[in-house]
Amino acid sequence: MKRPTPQILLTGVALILVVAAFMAPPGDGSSGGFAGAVTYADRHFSSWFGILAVFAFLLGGASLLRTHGRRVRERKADWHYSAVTLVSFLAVLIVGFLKLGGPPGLTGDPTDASSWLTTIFDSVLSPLHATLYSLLAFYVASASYRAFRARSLETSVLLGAALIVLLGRIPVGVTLFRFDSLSLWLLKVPNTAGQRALMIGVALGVVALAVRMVLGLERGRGGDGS
Amino acid sequence: MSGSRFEALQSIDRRWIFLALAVAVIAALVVQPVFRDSPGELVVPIFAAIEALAPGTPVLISLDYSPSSAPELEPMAAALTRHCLIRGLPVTYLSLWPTGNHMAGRIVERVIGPEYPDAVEGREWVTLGFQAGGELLVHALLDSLGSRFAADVRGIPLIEIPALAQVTGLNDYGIVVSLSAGTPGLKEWVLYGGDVGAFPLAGGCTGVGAPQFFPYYPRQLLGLMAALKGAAEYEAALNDDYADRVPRVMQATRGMGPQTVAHLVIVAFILLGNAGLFIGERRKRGRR
Repeated sequence: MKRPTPQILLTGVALILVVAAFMAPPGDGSSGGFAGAVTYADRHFSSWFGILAVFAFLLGGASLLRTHGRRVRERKADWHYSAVTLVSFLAVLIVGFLKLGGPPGLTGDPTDASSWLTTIFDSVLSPLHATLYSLLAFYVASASYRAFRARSLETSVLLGAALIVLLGRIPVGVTLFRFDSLSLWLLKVPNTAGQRALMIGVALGVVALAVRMVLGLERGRGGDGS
Repeated sequence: MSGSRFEALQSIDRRWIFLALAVAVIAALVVQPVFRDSPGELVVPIFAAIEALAPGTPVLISLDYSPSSAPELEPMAAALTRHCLIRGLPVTYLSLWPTGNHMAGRIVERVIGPEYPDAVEGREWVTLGFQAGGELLVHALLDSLGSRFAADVRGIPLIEIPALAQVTGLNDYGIVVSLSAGTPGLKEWVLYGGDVGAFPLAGGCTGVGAPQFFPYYPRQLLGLMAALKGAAEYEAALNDDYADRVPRVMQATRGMGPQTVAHLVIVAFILLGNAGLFIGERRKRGRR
């Protein structure tokens, strides 16, 4: 390993947090000793994340400016989109920082109805989000039409479940076919069984990955450049 | 009908499907049919838990969504807000998503302002807003709201806010409800809040997200409002008990009309495709 410091930090902090999650005694950590240190870590490490997040935001913003700035400067393919990204980013940043239109100062409410940020949110962001999300309905309709075909036993089961859930979630299906209880049963029993299997499998994978990272076995961590 | 026509039923141009869906939904939006729902098994426990709280007990609603999923989740936030204000339960809004501040602003502007003009910010509700951290934020708030929020979105220190007079950490809330469109959201609230803390946790989620939360019900989640139907069921419960204090037709109930029509159109196309497949296969077998 070329750089041991990040690995030592990672291993140390991870071990403290794991111990804290399972064994932190009650209190605020002022008792001192190992128990006090573990409790202190449990109470305060998560708050320190807020400080780290600020740097992450700065880093993210700087990275966005650098990446898209270069694309615009060098007139790379689709550089126009990068220009739109840059202009939007800077406009919202300036409006937000200066709290234009709304209550000024550090403690001014950015959600105030008079602020320009609220106007941008209501007039630009909300309609854009709504439009993109609405398009999903059309693709879901088209995909359902093509995917749900009773070509085999398995696809027939899928088709049956889809029809029951689709009709069980609307009042007409409930009134005409009483599919609400059947739809709920599908979600509560077969779905839960599948979801649990998936969740437990993923959790075991995450634990294995965490152990490898803590032990410094995971490539790409600890500054080995891979 | 010739065999090729049955085959055509299996490969309808997607633009016809788009057109049929658009026409059906626009017609439903114009006609505004109202389909009354009734409170279901997953929603009743949430309504009952809020109903059982003594007046003055604080309630926390985490608005973990953005405008894209607001049509499904905002009606839940609105219905919960109405219920809490009617019952005299001070509401705290916070968010694990950066868009949360404005989502709370919309509830204030569209529900609290017009329907409860006597409600006072800081007394009946308080907006703490967004903080970064997701699960770490939830973990930090368990013991103390003040560890991550020095003030509300107006800059008023928490200690001066009457709605938070009884609150130190999450365990002081009568119930916490996360309305979640993804990560961070309800799952983080379950794992780092509800499972560790001593407060009842309930949730609301989008339709596509609902299946992943069923494993948590009913032990780790008191109840679950799944998609627009979940919100419509909560509105139905409100209409049953407080018909004179809430609008007769609320947002989710109104939205169930277009959603019903859309579902029926999708079902019709699925059946058409399968009819084409079934008849086409029989014809082929007959020819052999």
